[in-house]
Amino acid sequence: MGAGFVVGVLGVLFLSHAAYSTIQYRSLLKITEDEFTGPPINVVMELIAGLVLCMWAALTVPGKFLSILPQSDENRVVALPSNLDFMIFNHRGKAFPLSIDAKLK
Amino acid sequence: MCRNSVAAVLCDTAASAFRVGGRSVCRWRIYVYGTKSLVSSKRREIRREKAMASRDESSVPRKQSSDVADEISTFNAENMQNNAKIIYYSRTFMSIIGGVIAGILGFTGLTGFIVYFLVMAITSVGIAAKAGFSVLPYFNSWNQILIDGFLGGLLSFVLFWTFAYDFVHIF
Repeated sequence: MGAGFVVGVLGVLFLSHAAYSTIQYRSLLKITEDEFTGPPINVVMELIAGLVLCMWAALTVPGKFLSILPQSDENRVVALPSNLDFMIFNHRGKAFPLSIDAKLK
Repeated sequence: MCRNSVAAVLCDTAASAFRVGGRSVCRWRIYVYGTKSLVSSKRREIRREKAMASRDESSVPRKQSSDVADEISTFNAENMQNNAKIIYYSRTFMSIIGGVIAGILGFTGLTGFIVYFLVMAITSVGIAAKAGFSVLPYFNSWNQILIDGFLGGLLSFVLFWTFAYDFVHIF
């Protein structure tokens, strides 16, 4: 959480510095009366670096993926739901073939 | 469609059908009356040589068992929600960052939306990499990783795109 957050803040700082550089570049263009076709190449490099850093932060800060399979190691203990009408148990009874042909005697 | 005549069993004929390994497997949900628990069956076909010899009351011909693997019917719902939340946060944050970048670069019109789709595609690749390029222990299908939240961040993107463009190029 800590390292990813710092990387994210760093990426946002890169982006704001790139924005500031672009503002200065535009004021320079106003003086020389040129058209704005795109920011200078170092600003583009800075934007790409900021994008990479923010991508890293976006993937690491929210947390890790957790396994959804019921038989993985960290999912063994199941909490009983508060609604007692519908409970789903994961036990070995599923290994038996279901006898759909059984009749009530 | 329910062939057995057990009086205490209600068959839900509108059960969902899933595709496992290219074949459709019908899952029946059988509500056992009185015990208030939900039991879901795995498959309808039982091996002929395993069941017929020991039963003397059934004369209904059975199909051969298929080699479709049994599908796990219950997933850990809390973890599924957790994974979906993580994907949502990642996509939202990357939409905002993509908006700021599109504004700084000065894109107007359709080229900005190209930036959005590009950023979302990169985010999808990143999420797939985070899940280890295998769908199974974390998600149900590839659609949840690659396609699900794709257009969700569009409005945030446009908002921050407009902010950044105004901030850098107009004021």
